[in-house]
Amino acid sequence: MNEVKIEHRNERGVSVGRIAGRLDMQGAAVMETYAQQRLSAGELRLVLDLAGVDYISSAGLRSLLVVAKKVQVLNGCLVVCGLMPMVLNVINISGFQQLLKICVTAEEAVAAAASLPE
Amino acid sequence: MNENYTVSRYLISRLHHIGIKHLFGVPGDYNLDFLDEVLASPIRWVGNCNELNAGYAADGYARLNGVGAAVVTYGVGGLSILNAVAGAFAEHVPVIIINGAPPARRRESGAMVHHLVSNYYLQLDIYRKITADAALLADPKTAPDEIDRVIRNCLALKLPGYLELPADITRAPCRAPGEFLPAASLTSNQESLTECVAEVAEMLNKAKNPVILAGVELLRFGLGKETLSLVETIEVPFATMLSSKSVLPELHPQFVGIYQGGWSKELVRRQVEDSDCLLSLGAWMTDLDTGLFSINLDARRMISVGNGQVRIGCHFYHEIQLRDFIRELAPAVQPRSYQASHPAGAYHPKQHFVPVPGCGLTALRLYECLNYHLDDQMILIAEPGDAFCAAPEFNIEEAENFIVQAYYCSIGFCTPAALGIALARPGKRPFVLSGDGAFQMTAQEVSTLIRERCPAVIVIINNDGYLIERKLHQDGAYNDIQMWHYAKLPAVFGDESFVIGLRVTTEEELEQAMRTAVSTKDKLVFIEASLPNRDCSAGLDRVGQAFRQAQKK
Repeated sequence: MNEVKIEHRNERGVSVGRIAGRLDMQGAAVMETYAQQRLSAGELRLVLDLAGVDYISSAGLRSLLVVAKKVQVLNGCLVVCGLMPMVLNVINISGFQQLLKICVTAEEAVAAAASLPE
Repeated sequence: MNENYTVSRYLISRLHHIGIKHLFGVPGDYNLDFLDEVLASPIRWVGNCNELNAGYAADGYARLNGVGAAVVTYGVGGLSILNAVAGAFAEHVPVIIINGAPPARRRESGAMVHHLVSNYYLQLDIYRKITADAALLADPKTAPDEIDRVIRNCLALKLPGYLELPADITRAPCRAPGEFLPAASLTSNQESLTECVAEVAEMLNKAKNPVILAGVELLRFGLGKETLSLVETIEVPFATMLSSKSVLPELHPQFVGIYQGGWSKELVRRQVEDSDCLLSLGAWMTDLDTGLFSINLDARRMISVGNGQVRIGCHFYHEIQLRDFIRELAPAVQPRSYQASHPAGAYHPKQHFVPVPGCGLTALRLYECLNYHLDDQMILIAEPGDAFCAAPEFNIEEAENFIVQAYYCSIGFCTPAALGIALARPGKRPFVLSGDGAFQMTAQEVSTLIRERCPAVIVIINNDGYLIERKLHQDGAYNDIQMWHYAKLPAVFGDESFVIGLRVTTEEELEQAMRTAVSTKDKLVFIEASLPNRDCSAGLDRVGQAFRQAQKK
């Protein structure tokens, strides 16, 4: 069992969650809970850094979409970054890159989230 | 409620126990004593304009609440609601009908009382044919057991139930309710289940391109979450059908599309029909779900689960319930990776609707605009007709945000059903999409929506008569109806401070009206969309052509 771990930090007014592990059904639930906690705390600029995610399932991808929708409803912004080739491939196959704001590095993602209007 | 139980109080207690918070219906002298007890209970009375509408409202309520109920009076009410009950029976929706009847002593003497048709058992006999169970509560000593039995069978089989309550029995003392035991009949044979799941798991593990076809029984038995968990555990793409649209979220990486046989999008049709292992979960192969039986599915490569059994190729496993099957299958199958097992087509987002200035409204643009403005807080209710022919292409992103009567297809269902839906899901907003012909059937229920302060959105597709009939067959004067000033109706029906009525004939007017509907969340917004030249969706054109060709054969 490769349990998902999330390291949280705040940077330039942006909440950054660095996620490591497998984003399968269990991992997706952990990530969604983390994102919900941030949003409930009023932190509406969110970066999910997936640099430590080596596997994503449809459940993991669906969770990203669910978080993105919640953020949108609250007029916040979500940026994902650090996608390993496998993760990027899954997102591209699905076509959901059209719904996600994606950056290569965490620095770029934080800069993008900090500059995006809420 | 005190401990001095009467038959009425017993029944109300049971209804409340199974989750009924609203009772629909129409008063009549044979049910007034019962309704007095309802008003004194935690269950809220919601009076309707007529019994048919009450039945549709209870049906809409039951589809989201798990069970609904309506109260009518003998004969004139009990027979008026029959069409709605027949629809609930056909579509497996558990609606409990309580029919207030003449006093037992009148029945015993054979007295000719008002609302009697021919004999005192006519309605009971009729209802026995279109319910899971029916009972005449003639004896307060046996009434509690009969009430429990009818409710239990109704819930277990997801079918209507019927209780005939003579006026003099309503206040008769009876025993207090004991523990309510669910029906024992719908459990799986464990030996059969284990063997079946092992065989299906082996088939799925060997398959190169398995697909799940998620059918309407999943909706009726409330198995959406379990099915989603199965999809995500074993990583197999899924398609749905018109009747089961939105049983699972469509905004999902494994969503293939809507399968309707030859009416499907080509990519969807090929992925389903070319699958080397199609797992059909609770799918009903009805005419409109199969593109008028234009499916091309190979039974040798198909596993069909539903109606208490599993069919694999030419052999059957009996006594297997969908819920048990799904629960046991998920851990038995080797999970795939998304890269190896996913829909053939990538996701296409909704297109932003940009109105063309000065452009008259067409059916195509109407549906594009509505689809763009639908959101997760709306539940789309598509009427049989052009509405449900256009609806398969709508993006219903989250589960249980779409309702259709795709099998029984009784036009006029949607407006009253919206009332039940609004009360069952107070956090959501019913969005009725109905044709003008269908709307005229049950239009007066808009007044109940207003009275109950349900902030529905109602879009009437005004295409000048029974357009679907014009398409299915050569046209005739029988398809003409009187043209109403639809947009003025909400104001006629009641409180103008709660309603907005709009008529649109151009793309810009429609866009503005939809913006108003979306932003005005606390009012009922009624939009009459006037279409020229009997214009319709590509879906209805396709249905019409298929029916006409079938008639020639």
